[in-house]
Amino acid sequence: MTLADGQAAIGGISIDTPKFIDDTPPSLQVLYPRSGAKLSANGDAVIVTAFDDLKLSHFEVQIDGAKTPNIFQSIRDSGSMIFHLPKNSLEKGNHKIQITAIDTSGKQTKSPAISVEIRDGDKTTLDLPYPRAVRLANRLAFGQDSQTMISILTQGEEAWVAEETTNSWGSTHDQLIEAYARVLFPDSSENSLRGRVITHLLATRNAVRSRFTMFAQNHFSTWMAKTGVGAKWRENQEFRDVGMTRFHDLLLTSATSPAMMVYLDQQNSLALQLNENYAREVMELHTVGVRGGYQQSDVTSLAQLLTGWGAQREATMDGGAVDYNYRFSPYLNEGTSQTIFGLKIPASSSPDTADDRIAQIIEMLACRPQTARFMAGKMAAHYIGVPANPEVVDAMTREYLRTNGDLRRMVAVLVKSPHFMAVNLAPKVMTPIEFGVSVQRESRSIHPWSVIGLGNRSGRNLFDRSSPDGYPETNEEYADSNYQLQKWSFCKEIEQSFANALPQAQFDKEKIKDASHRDAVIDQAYATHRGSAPSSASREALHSILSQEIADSNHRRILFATFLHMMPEFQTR
Amino acid sequence: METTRRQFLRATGTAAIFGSFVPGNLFAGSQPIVKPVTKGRTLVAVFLRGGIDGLNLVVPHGDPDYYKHRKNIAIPKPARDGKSALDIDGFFGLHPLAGSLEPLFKDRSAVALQAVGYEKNTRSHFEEQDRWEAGVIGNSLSSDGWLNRHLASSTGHGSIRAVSIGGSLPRILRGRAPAYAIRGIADLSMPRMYGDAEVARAALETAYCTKPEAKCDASNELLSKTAAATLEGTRQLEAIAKIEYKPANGAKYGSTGIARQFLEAARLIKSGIGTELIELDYGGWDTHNAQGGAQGGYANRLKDLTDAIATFTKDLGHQMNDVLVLTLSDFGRTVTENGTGGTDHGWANCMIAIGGGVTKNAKPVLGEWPGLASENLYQKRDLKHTTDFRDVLGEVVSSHLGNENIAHVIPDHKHKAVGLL
Repeated sequence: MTLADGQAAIGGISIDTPKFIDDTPPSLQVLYPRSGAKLSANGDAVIVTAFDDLKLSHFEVQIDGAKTPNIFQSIRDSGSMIFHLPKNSLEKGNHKIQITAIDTSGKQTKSPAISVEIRDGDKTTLDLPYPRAVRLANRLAFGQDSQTMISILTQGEEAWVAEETTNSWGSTHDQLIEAYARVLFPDSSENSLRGRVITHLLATRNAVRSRFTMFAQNHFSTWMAKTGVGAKWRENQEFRDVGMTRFHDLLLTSATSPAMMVYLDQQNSLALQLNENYAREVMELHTVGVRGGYQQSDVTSLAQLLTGWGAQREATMDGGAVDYNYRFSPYLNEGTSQTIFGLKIPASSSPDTADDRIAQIIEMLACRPQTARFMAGKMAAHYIGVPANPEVVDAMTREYLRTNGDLRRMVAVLVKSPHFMAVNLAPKVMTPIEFGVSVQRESRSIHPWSVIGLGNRSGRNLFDRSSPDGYPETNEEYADSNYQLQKWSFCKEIEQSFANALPQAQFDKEKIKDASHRDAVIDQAYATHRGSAPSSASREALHSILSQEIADSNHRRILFATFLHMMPEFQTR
Repeated sequence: METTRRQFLRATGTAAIFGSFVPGNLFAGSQPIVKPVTKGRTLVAVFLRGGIDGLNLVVPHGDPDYYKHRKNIAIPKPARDGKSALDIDGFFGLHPLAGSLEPLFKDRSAVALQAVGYEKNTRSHFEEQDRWEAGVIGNSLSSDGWLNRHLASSTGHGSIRAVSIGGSLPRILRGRAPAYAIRGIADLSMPRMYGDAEVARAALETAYCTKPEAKCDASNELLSKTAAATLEGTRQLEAIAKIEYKPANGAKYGSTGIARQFLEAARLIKSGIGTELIELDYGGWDTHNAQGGAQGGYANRLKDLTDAIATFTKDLGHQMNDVLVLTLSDFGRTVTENGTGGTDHGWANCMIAIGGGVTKNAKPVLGEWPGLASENLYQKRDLKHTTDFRDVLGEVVSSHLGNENIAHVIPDHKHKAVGLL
């Protein structure tokens, strides 16, 4: 970049001003694919890092010297970018790929030619990096937003899974989102809490951890209407901080959470004033499962043992708000000997050690093989589908028992399973929160209010499950006509954000009359947002939408963007 | 518009909307022969989630043991003081805040069933709601709701045969036949977008309902059926929603959520679109803590419920001959109050049935009373069951809904008459 003389008119007065002359071409590095890589003939991608001293204009992707259409480029000023290549732009065989970065003054930089093999994947198990990355993004994270796809494809999947499952919460980026969310949702209403959590889900760079945090809170489900907002907020923060860890830590997080204690009435269960609600659910829903081999007598004994364990309303030392805090009151504990699962727990010897008995029983519940199997089943159901595949559940159960309940290791086992990477894995219908979050992440929009609305109207909002079993994982749960209608209305509500991710020039009135151009638009939209090709029915539907007589090309773009997300492929992950 | 509609009806699965299409291999065992329902009636099923304490709703004031077990929360013997039970038959009485049902019991258009349950109750909300909704005991993981089996094994009189008012489709209505989950009729319409609304409808029908070339997986099949139901339902309901609703016979619905739900139910029934099943969810009955007796949280909730039912029956007037309101719940609660002024998960419970064919009953409270003496309680804590809930459901399916496939709708059960209808 050099400076030259120029003129500008400010307030009608002509003054001399320096002008930038762009004589420096962009810098360009191709991160994916590497030379010798195998690309999927069903659709793949190119990832580059590029910078320009002024402004990047666009990129060209050449295969054996011929330009691919590559019509949707989401250009950032600089940094890493991903360009999805639809199926029809890829011909099987050995090819050379070359990328050209072009800045706004036409200066170009060409990458070296990269030799790749474009081929069909294995018929039964996903074996090529791109479709595997799509699967990982959809199942472990919240869909295939650019950042997630770039991370998986450039880091390699094992390194990515290892990093995402061990990252702790609290990066600068996390803190920025938190601050932003508090600005957007400053009050202490239920919807404000939802808004903060959803804002985090929309913006997080660690979607794997965030998805798991939501899964954990659905496993240890509490109902905000009963717990109150303050207790639920703190519980959410606890789960967010503890992240993916050993099961015992999660169980302890829940068992000392005032929200859970209030929700299942444990805070009122005292010696001579027994309430067995929490004692039953901690076995039935949190650990060993309803067929975990316990009897009514085990429930009653555990309830006796837990008396005095719970939460109390306390004001903060500086006179702040009164809210529930975790509290164990040894003098309100029924200290007699109890037998649970045949294990005799002796009578409490002193008030100082009364809670040791409870710590012991929590550890015992976390160690039981039934708990290992129950958790393996629930995780497999969440990440792969219902019914949980028995081989995967067996493998994850063994890993749980081998690693003392390390859930990170269980995820690693799950991801390596051929069932997880099966080509014909049945799609999982997204919950309202999953749908609202993932379609926005893919379009880089942040409208937490719309997701709250979708959750409310579909009757399945965040932390709004009144029963402690949490929202189900079955497809049937998320296939009702009301929810379907609400999803369609949601797409309409945020249509402008969807549209912003698509270049308006492609929706020009004359251009769109050409059926092959419409095909190219549809293919590119599916490649970019779904990493796959549309069904012939969806293609036909979108053709009819694009063929309508609409004078304004922006309206056509908005209509297409909305409809795209209303298509069946966008309802599943 | 006509082309769109014909296209739509040709599409996969949409025939199921009219209940005449049941895809093969649905049910293990015998495939029922789909028959038209023999009656044009409606069932309004009110699911009281959480396990309502039936002993304080239909109060056994004639059983002295009732008062021994409930020192603080018992409903006093009848005394017409607004705080005591309202006698029904000399032995049972209604909770004082359920007084709006009293005239219905007096004129024999309401009947209560006491001690309803079954022998394997787990005292778990989720398991027991599941049993009541699936109508099957044992492994019901892949089982549909019994109301849905009714739809799938019969043909009705209209396209919108089943609606849940509350916002989510409950298990009881889930299955192969379409059912709607709505909050109210008014907020149900397709979003308005750029371009032609009929083109948009047709495009969605194409995308969701075209028979796929490849093997269709279960989730896509589900989405396809759901979308088909949504598209057809919005078409009909958009028309109804345009008409302002005026309750009849001077009925005035309250402003509570449950009153709104009953109003929407009345509106659907009176629109004459052939709705047979309406499910209303009304939760908050898991009263472990500070349940109260004649007054308190439970009492207030009961008042909201019974007032809404009474207004609904007034609004419907003579149409109540064809409408049955039936309450269902997870399970009954412990006979003895717990240490925190509430009741824990128990065993048998009561049900209330209003309208339909119940008028012919001479007895306002049905079912053999097992008694509340400690030695008569199940595991020394809960009301024993003397009537199997599947017998009640079976009678509703056959006598009220007119479905002849009772062994399919409520399977694996030898049905006995309970004399409700």
